[in-house]
Amino acid sequence: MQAAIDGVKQVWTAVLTSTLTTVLVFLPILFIQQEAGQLYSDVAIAISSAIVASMILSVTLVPLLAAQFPPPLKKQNMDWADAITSRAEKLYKHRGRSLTTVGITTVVVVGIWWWLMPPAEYLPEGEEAKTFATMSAPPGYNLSTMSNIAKEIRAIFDPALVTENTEVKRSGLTIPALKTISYSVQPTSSPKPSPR
Amino acid sequence: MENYLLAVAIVYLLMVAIFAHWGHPLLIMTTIPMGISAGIAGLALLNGIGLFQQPFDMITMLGFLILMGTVINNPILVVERTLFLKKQQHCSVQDALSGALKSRIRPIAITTVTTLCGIAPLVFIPGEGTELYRGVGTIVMFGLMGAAIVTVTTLPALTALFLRSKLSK
Repeated sequence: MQAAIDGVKQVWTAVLTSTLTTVLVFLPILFIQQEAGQLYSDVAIAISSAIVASMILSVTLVPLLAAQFPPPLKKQNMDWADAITSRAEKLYKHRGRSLTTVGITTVVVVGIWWWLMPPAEYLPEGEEAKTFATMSAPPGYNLSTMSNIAKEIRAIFDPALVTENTEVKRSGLTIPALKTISYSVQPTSSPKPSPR
Repeated sequence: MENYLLAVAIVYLLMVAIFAHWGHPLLIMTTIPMGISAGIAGLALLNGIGLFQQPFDMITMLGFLILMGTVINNPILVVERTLFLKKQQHCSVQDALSGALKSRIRPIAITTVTTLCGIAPLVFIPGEGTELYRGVGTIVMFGLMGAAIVTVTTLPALTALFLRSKLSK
């Protein structure tokens, strides 16, 4: 029983600090108004409440159960932990060693930030904005007339395909930059020969 | 960007309040940039070996926010124990650090491995819609790995430098 109480006492500060920091970093997410914030706030709320619940349980229920069902005393053979500790000890034995360790880490960290930082995008590419337009020709227009009309329309929209600006002005219209565009001219329905 | 600064400020002030010291939280927070750079390296690595092409978008960057909260958990364990041993048991800096590492390395290793296993499906299972959260998973996964390594190497060295210097008095 005493072991369980001591265990809680020993790590209580650490547990409280880690829980609170983990939860509180999500606070600013609530201030993000755009889509990313909406997509993410549920995740943040789920993680936060789960962590708070786990903290409460880990200082109440878990010590209780550990005291009730004490694990069998086993010989402490922590070979790997001792091995890691003794290796790590070499890194902070002297001032020089410590300085070297910290220096190398700084170089690696700055190097990664400098070389590998990828270009930022907003959200993964999903559905792109599309516009469809059709024109129904008045009766009596033939295909070559329709093709000429299509050429006129191309003349208006094509500059928006190659532009570096975000929008182009043509014939009094403001057209946003376009990624792809496709035209087709076809006879929609040929009049059926009426049965006689 | 302001959100990240705000998160860092909140975390720092909270730790100042709990540790009742202005310097020790800074020591703990040095692992944040190290964890973040490990996350970036992990993303670059997985993109580099062609497992997937994950863009560096808003949700992926929110992985950094998760990292800020989780990466400092290990250093808190080590630094808190070191300070306890040094103050209460009057150990030398060297002995306090060794004692702290020895008693804390097990929980740190276990929590890191379990978290990695928990996140692995998010990163490695393919399918429609998984690309939305794969970036976050990658960043957190590699960030935690980096943080675990840093906790047993750089952090004790930095702590030793800090505690032996006059700043800590």
